Amino acid sequence: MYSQKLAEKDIKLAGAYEHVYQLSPSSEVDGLLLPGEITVGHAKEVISYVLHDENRRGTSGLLVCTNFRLMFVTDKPPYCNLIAVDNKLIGPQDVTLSNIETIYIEKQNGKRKKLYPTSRNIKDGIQKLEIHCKDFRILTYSFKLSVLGEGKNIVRAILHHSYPQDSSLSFAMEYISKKASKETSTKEASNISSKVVSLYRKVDDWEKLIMTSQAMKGRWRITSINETFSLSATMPGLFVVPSSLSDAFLKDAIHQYNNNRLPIWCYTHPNKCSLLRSSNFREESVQFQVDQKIRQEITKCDPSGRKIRMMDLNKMCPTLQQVQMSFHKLKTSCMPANEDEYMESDGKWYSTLQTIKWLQFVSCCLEVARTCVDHIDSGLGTVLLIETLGVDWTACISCLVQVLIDPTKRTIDGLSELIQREWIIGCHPFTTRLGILHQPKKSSKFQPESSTSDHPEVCKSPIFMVFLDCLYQILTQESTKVEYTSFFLTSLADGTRLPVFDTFIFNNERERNRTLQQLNQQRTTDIETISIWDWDVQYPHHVQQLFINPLYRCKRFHHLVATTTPPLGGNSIATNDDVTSPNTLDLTTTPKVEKLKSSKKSSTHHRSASDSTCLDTTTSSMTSSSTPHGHKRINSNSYEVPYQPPQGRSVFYCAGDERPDSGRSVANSRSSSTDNMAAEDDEAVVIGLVDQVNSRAPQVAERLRFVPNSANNNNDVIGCRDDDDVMQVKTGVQYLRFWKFAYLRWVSFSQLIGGGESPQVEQENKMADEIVQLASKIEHLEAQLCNGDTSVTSPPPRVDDVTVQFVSSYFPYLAISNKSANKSTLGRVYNFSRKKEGKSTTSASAPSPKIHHHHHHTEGKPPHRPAPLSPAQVAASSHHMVALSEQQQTSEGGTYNRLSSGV
Amino acid sequence: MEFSEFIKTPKVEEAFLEGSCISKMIGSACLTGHHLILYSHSGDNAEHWILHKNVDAIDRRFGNDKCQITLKCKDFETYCLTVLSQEDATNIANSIEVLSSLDNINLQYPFFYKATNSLSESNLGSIEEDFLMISNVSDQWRISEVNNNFQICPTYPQRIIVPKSISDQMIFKSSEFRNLGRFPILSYCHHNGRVVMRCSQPQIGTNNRRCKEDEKLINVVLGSHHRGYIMDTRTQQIALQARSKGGGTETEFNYPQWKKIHHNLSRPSALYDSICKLVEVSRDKGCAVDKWRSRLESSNWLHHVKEVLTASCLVSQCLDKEGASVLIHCADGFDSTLQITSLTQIILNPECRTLRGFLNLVEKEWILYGHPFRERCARSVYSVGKASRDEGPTFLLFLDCVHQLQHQYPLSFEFDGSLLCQIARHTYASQFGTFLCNNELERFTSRVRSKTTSLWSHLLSDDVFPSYLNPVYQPRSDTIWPSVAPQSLMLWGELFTPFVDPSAVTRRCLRSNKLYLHELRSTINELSKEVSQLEEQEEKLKT
Repeated sequence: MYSQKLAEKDIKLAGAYEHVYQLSPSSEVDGLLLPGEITVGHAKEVISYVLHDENRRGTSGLLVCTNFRLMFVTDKPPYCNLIAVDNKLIGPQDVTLSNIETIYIEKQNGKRKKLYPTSRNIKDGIQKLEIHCKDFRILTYSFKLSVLGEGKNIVRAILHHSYPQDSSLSFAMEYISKKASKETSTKEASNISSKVVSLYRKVDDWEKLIMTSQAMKGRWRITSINETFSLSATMPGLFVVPSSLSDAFLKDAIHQYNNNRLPIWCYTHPNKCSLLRSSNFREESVQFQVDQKIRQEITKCDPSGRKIRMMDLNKMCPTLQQVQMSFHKLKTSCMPANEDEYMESDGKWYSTLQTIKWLQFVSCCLEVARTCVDHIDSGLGTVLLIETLGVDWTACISCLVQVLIDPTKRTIDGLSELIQREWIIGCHPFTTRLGILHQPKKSSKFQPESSTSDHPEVCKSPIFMVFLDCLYQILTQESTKVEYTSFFLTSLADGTRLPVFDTFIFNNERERNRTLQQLNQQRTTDIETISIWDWDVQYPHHVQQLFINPLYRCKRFHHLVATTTPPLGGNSIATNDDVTSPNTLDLTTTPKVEKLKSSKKSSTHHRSASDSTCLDTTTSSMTSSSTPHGHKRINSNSYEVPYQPPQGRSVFYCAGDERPDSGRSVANSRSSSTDNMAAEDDEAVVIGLVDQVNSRAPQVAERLRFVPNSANNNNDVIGCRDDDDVMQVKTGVQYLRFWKFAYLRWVSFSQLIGGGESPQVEQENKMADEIVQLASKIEHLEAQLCNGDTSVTSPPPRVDDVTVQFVSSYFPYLAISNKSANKSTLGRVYNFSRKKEGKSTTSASAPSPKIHHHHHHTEGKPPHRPAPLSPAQVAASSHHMVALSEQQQTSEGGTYNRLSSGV
Repeated sequence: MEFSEFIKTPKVEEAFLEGSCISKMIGSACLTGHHLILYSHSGDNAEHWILHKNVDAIDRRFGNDKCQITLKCKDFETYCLTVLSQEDATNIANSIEVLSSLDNINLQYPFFYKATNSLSESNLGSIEEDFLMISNVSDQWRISEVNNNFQICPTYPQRIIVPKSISDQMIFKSSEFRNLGRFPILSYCHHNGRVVMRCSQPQIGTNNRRCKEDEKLINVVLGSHHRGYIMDTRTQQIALQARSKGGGTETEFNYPQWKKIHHNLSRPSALYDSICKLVEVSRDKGCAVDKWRSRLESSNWLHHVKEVLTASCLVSQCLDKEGASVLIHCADGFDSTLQITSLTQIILNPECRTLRGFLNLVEKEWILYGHPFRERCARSVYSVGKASRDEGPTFLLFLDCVHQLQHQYPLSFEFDGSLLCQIARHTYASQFGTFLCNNELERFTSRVRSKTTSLWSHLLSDDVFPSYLNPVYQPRSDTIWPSVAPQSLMLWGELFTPFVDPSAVTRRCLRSNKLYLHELRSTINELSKEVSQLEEQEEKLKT
């Protein structure tokens, strides 16, 4: 759907760059700069090599280093490895300085050297610059055509600006202060979507959260004892505690906990079990009664007085160092220097994956989260997550638990608010953990004596990536139940390296507050920070659409499907966990057996009562004061339906393919459990869901505005309700998938053109669009019929017919446009011509070709060969198949690598 | 012969059936000539039928108060049947054991099965259709009756397509030179006129026999200037060693226009060991988190998948990029050879990625050209130790490769993964006659085609095929180049770990989306009609 935009963008980009390049560099780049961005160094005639191409092809252009990013400007359209994602802040060839992990330089004598933030002695004669990014990208530039000294200057500039030591030096501060003065008018317009996501810095946001929950009423309250962050650096300014604990007591108690973190409320289930997170109680403290008292009061918040379960995450989750080590190994195995190296991982990939342990850690997190979910959902009692510092795994697990248990947290807004509340406000030391700030040896902010990076307070550890990976696993397993996509998750990961937003650039809220205060003192006007959730700043509308999972989107309409229509094919199966293989039906094709019924019916009865409770909470918490289309609001006495824990595994109904009878059985049991919850109630459910999506970003609301009329005479809207179940996520390592989209997205030769997940999502999007389109058409026609008003114009037909054939599997990252869909350069493992090249260079042991910067092969032309071949070489290469079989004769075992990479 | 003589206990009133893919059932168990049937006693009238043929191994565990019989099936499922009396249990187990290993083809279930609704003939693998396609590209071919009554090659069909300029006599000579009479025969003709041919090894032997007719036969497909490749799916060493047993491999001296490629693919018996390990790992739910992936790796199954895909890619590239024809053979020419020829067609030919096209491909390559299904699929993973070298999941490996392609190009296939699973299961035990017998001659003698129902007819019937359609199918006209990087290959979850397959949820949802689209469209049509009626009424009122 967006691939046509790609083509347009290609042209646009080319135009923009042309304009820039015709003028002389340096000052004229200004047009491309963001507010507050200043150029700190540049080099002309730099060659930017194509990713993973063994430096055979490249484009020449201008390399500019600013205080924000490293920018590559060229008049030639980037012909390869084009990044389709249209980011307003950084161009496809740019990389933010925060993204730079390590810098390598290569001298003329071929010596490769790693540069450190403290490296001073950089001399002239730098031949090549290689930058390894935190998002696993490798960028290579060559200065062999530049004026002597330019390479040195820009490397110095990069080195100087890439490792900031203080958040207040972050580019975000420059950006927001300049931006505020520049674009006051446009700001308002773009601010709409950020208002949707509560930032939890104001008391209203918290009130909205706890007031809407019936289960919390009167038992929990918001306290502002830490409003100025004087009591604790890491505690939020506002937080929720049991109502019975006084401020005075809390002020006293707070210092008895490690890191000054009290147990704070995270979530309360409709069955009144809650989830809390806290740090360890100080070992040296003698005031045990404080801890006891707090726990007692937490227990009292649950009217049934169930016991609190303490989850010691120190014991259940891997240590920070383990995660860091694992991530480091992951990075190494996902950043192959060339195709051969990538192919060499062959044969040991699975054991590599096992030794990396990354997936095991992900599995472990999901398992811990699931334990909590089971505990809370089955009504066994409140869960308290405990961890030494209370800022790492507690955030991760508490988020995961809420996503699994609460359907409202599975929307993009719900998830964003959750991340904002648990990670940002609830505190996670992002700058330290993600290594955004360079931590010099002194690191006086924490414990001055300990200089070891192993100390948990200064340890680098990508816990947030583990969390995102867990979300990805949930997405792969339950793709119909979550609204986000893989792209949303990678955008979040990338957002941590984009120092424009105030979201990920501080270690805690106190730091943020103080930095902003300082900044405000220096300036006359108040500065407004921008949060990552303000996606309009970063992405245009059509890119933001990629956040929305099409399967989730069109599920909203499934209740429209008349239940009289049987599912396609005789043997599709009604329930999710009833995995009767179609074969057993097929093998025994007799009419009698075909009617094999779902034997799970009995358990649906247990489920339904609790379903309605959950759902009602959802509905009313999400329903704003006005309900469109004049439907009745749901009556609030439905809260009184007693909660019944589900017995056995709950049954989900997959939208659309449930049978008429199974669906009805739920409807019947519902009406039997509560007399007044009949058909009209089901309407209310629909409204609730529509409202829920209406409250989302306007564009989505626009798409889903349609409230089906046909649902009125259709009692069976329960197809929507598989949403409202607790997600049963498989945590075994066998069920987890490697997140290729995040970790391998820059490895160009691992992409498939027209294959992989992305084109499928595109296709699903198309179907979803069509569904929305048709639904609104029906509405329109029905309106015409009712009013007899034929003057209403029908909705415009869709203009959308783009083949997804040329979309890369890593779309929108390594996407190629229609134009450059040259099969001989991309997306394949086998490449005859490539082998010839490789062979010729190796057989002649030729030095790296000198003239390749001229060879931007244009559309239609074959890729350029680096060096002219001698007749003998040509002969050799045309017979390379012979050579191949010879190779096979010599080494039977190791042939594959050569073969698969080359031939 | 009557089945009843094997059945001592035809019915047990109190029985209990458990299985990984079914819910627990309590009811009465009945034993028939071909099935074990469990009727549920609870109100829902559920039944479960297990084909005896599907049973691979039986474990008996007899206790004092109850006796358990574990039925390990060829489709990797296991069922546990519990009865109270030890005598009944022994009888049932013995009966199933005997009935599951009956060799007589005429007693197989397909000969007794009658489709409930008459199915039309699928007409797959028709040589005329094939010939028509080829004629569009090249006029160098003709249909020959040289194999009438299977006189020169029992594993080829009776009517075949051969080069126009080659006489039947030459083909006869060539077939004498090739192992089992499998002379070089056309498999696929690419749109550029280049072809894939398949055959068995030449019988060069120790005294270096050569056969002019055979050389002529394959040279003629090259035309005047072209070169070709001969792919031998054995290592050169093994291929040369085969000479001592009367086999061998083409020498470049006698076939100067051809270049040899040796790409080693495993023999069926090696695949058999591999799949045994794989199933052991994938069915082991209690496997340690730390070990799972390395155990999966050590099963080597994905390595085999990768090797087959690599070889197929290589052949596809020879055809598509190099413009060279390829001749493929292994020793017998009906195992790894067929894997490559069929995968090459899937990679290159969009037609083979449609539902009908794919079934046609399986019929054409595997059934008609003699993959010995009876031998290869006689036993499955649970009968360890009993397997002879004839058994091996060659065809299953092919299906797994198709699954990998499908996984990598989810939009390019008209059918979805469940079709592959279904076919995989039917190769081991089926009510259809499609996978009976080793070759066409056997099928001809047992009159399989006239007496049994074809799986293809069933799959293509109007009420079945829609459930196998891929809702996101987008036909594309070009080749799909698979990635064979280990990072791209996936364990075939739907077949090997069916109890958890996330893609199933997605697929179900997509299918319901599709259904929903249909529904919306018809509603729209109705409403538009209504609107136009209303408009007409208004017009009338006005006038």
